Amino acid sequence: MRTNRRLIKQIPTVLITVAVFLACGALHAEGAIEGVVSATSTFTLTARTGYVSTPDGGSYLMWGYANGPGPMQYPGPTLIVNQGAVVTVNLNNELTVPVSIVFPGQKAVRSTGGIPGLMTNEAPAGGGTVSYTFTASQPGTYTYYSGTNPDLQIEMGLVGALIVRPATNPGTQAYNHADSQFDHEYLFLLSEMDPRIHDLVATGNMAQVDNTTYFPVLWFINGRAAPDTMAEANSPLLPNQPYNCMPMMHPGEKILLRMIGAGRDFHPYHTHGNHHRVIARDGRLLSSGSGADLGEQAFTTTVIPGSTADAIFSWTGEKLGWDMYGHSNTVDPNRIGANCVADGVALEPGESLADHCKPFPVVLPSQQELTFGQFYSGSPFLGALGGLPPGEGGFNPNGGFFYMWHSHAEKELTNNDIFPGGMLTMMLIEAPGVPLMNP
Amino acid sequence: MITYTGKKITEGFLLALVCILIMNGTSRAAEYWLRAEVTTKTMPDASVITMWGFAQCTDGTYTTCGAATVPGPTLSVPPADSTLTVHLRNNLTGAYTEPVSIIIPGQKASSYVPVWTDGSPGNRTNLTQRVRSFTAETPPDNTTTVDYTWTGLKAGTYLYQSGTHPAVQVQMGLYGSMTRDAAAGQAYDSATTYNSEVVLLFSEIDPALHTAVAGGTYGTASYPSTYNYEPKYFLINGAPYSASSVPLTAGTVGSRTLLRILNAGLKPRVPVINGLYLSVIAEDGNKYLYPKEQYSVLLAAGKTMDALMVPATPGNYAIYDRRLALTNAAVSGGGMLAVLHVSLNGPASQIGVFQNAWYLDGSGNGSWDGTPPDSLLAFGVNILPGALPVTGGWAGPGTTRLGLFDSGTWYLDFNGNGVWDGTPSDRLYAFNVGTPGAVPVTGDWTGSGTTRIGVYDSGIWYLDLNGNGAWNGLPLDGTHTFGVGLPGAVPVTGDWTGSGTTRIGVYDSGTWYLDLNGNGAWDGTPGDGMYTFGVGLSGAVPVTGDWTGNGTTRVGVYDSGIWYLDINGNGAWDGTLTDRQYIFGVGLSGSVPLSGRW
Repeated sequence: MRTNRRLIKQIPTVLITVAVFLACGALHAEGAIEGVVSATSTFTLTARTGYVSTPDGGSYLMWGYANGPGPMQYPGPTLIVNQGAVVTVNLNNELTVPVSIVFPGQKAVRSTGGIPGLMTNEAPAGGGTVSYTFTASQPGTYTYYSGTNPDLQIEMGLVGALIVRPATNPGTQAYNHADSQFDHEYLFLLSEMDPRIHDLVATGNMAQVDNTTYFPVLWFINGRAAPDTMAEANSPLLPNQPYNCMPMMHPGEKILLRMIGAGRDFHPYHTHGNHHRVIARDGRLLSSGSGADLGEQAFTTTVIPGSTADAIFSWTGEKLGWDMYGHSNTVDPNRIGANCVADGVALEPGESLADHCKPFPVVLPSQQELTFGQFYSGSPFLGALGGLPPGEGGFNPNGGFFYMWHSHAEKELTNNDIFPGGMLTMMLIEAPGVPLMNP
Repeated sequence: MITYTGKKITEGFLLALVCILIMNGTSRAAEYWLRAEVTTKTMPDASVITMWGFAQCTDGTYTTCGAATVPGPTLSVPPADSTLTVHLRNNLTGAYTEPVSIIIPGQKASSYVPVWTDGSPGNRTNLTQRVRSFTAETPPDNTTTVDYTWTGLKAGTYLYQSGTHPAVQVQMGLYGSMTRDAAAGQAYDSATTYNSEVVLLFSEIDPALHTAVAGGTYGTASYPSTYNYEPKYFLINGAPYSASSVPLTAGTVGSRTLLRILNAGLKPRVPVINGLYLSVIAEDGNKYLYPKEQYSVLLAAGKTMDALMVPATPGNYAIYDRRLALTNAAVSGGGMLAVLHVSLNGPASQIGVFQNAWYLDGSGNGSWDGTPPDSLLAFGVNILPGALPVTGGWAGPGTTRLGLFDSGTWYLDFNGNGVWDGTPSDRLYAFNVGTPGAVPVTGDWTGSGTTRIGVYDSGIWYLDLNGNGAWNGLPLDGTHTFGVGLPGAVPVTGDWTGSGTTRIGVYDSGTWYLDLNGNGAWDGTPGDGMYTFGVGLSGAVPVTGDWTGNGTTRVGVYDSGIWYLDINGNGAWDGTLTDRQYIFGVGLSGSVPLSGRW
């Protein structure tokens, strides 16, 4: 019995290069969400102005929550706390209008200082302060945003994410139940923008803003429009948009999607590659009392404004229709799946059994018959590189599989009418053993 | 509101009713008489919008009718009724009118015969016909009465609306809510019991359509159709939020309040509530197998959702459209926002008097029993003979605490033990503003849950808004001018509207001037309130309290030990059957009346 491992054996050389690269550049734990952690669960946010960049060359005035004395950022800092923590958020306001924060999903939020507003106390314009305190009693994905003229201020960028880690396995679960276990977690804070509003504010014509004619032409994941979604986090090129969104995983692993409707429109968020299972909404497990037993499979989840949804995505290559590692059974090519294992060909980690040793079903076209993109490795096998014309495949040095994850309202895949862009990113499956470069 | 009669119903209906009665001896039928009419709504920016609404009439003569409203009257069908009949007349007038009808998606109509664009009902007979009405039409002649009947009524929350040319008529305002409980206090079953309910009906106005209908240009080249729908006003229960909106009473702490949320608009909405979770129990009148715990509700156009809330803390909870329809036309601070007021579930205010000692009616029976839970306390009297009594929740909501005021100096029993312990256990404030004759006032000026202090000085109010016990001037603290020109006026305070915030007022020889809208100024009625309560009782002094525990402060007077309390809240003395009289404090000459939760 002999196994064809030719394709697999290409991995190590690539790996060494990537591993060295990662050892130099990796600043963050694998699969953890970028955000702000405070030992005392005390945060200081400063509402101030700044500009975001869009891939079509646009630059727009925003109002955002900065992390302490940091630059304006869109979205605001992702606040990460532990269940049970008494959270204090001190808000300083450098804007010319009063501003505030509401925390939907948090009970008994007490505000101290500031001036009374419609929904909560507000930090007066021009240097005012207010402070909010609450107990993060339940784990989950939450959002925060301005409760002061939210029709304008949320649009201007005063919105962010709050993550409450559970008491049980806080690093690997979203909730206090194993149904929420994940290997990697990613934030999908979805928003949209009508640039006319930002231009009116920037030119001192705030009184002319008309909410009722809202017409967005830019769409964001974590404050970035594609392809910037896939650039590194904390990129110096995007000083006011620190958060990226490029999910990565190995076969068989689980990704937690923390989805937040941060704008005012619905966004049907669509995962290619497999269904995901929505396990929680608004920070509560979908449960009849036993785990996430009321969770729902979906390939598109409507992300609802102001609301949050958590979903678990997994991928094994199941039903691809061929063995993605290129295994074959040299004893009897017809004996696939468990029979091939019995004949001595081992499964790769996370590999789906059904297609094990199933041959690739078609003859690949010749290069002259193909167009290429930067994501194609030249090979239909995971972790393998095929022959490519010079300059192609540059974004895929490890032979991964890329799946586009995007708003299924296809109009939202544009930046100011230019395709592709907008609410779009790529999910990358890397071969077992390939370190994930993100975030 | 609902009349049961066997005389005014049609023969066919009677036959059906008889059949139902044979099947189920307890079945009854609810009847309503509605009339479509032209009305108007005034928006906060003073725009006047022509609307079509339903008016409710008392019987088939249509001689006694209420005003047409948008939304129309809530059809609250009792659980015992399995059949609903709406008798409809159409009094639409003006440059453009149409026949109208009523449908209730989710309930089974006894007849559903469409009417076509050529005016013929029944089956479609030629391909040029397009549907105009889902059901029989009521012509705009204000004479014809058409009956619409639904049988086998399901429990739940439903939207009723015109089934005729709905693209125009629903926008124009011909919609309302229809509810029916499974049993008294049970929305769907024993698992969905509730103590109080709030209807939140979302809808929108695009003034362009209303102008076209009012001017008779609908369907002409200047306004051919509603194709370019772009709403400018965003309503809950027929009104957009504005500074003068009052909170909706939404039950008490620890009790179950049912929110019936409906969308008669054309766009989906996402009501979000701050500070609470909702248990979403039903959709389109169908109870979920398992409730969903959410702070947001996806409310599609035409949909109804039911949610229970059980608040743990009293106060105001904002519920608003997270799709950000929070403007009135282009102006921020309006739109689909409502404030739900949750009041304390504690006992109603109790009474007491101060006369060199505190006599408190802890039992709440309105008489001095001399034994617990009534109490006789001596807070501060040994150190401050002659000081004025004050009361409040100095450390937050809950039990009312005592205090004394002496020429600008406040001694507050902050720890609530009924004894002056000095600082820091208790609070000593010097609130130095006004003349030596200034009198103390107390209240929760900002809705913080904590009672704060202030003084009233011949019509000028100085209020400690920031709660530090000192007069810091504007803007940290606040002043109002309310009562100037009434030299004999006595200041009164209370949460007159259940807003969660204490408001001010003055009492002058039996006439009360109350700042209902909370702007700190006397605006006359109806913005503010003027009551006559206590006229003719020469020695009467005003006293205010939440006599029923519903979160709203009501008035009363105390006259030498006799208490007259306005229980029904109409601001008038209606006698002891409706209002209440207590005898408490007789013989304590010079005693000062108190109210609180002892």
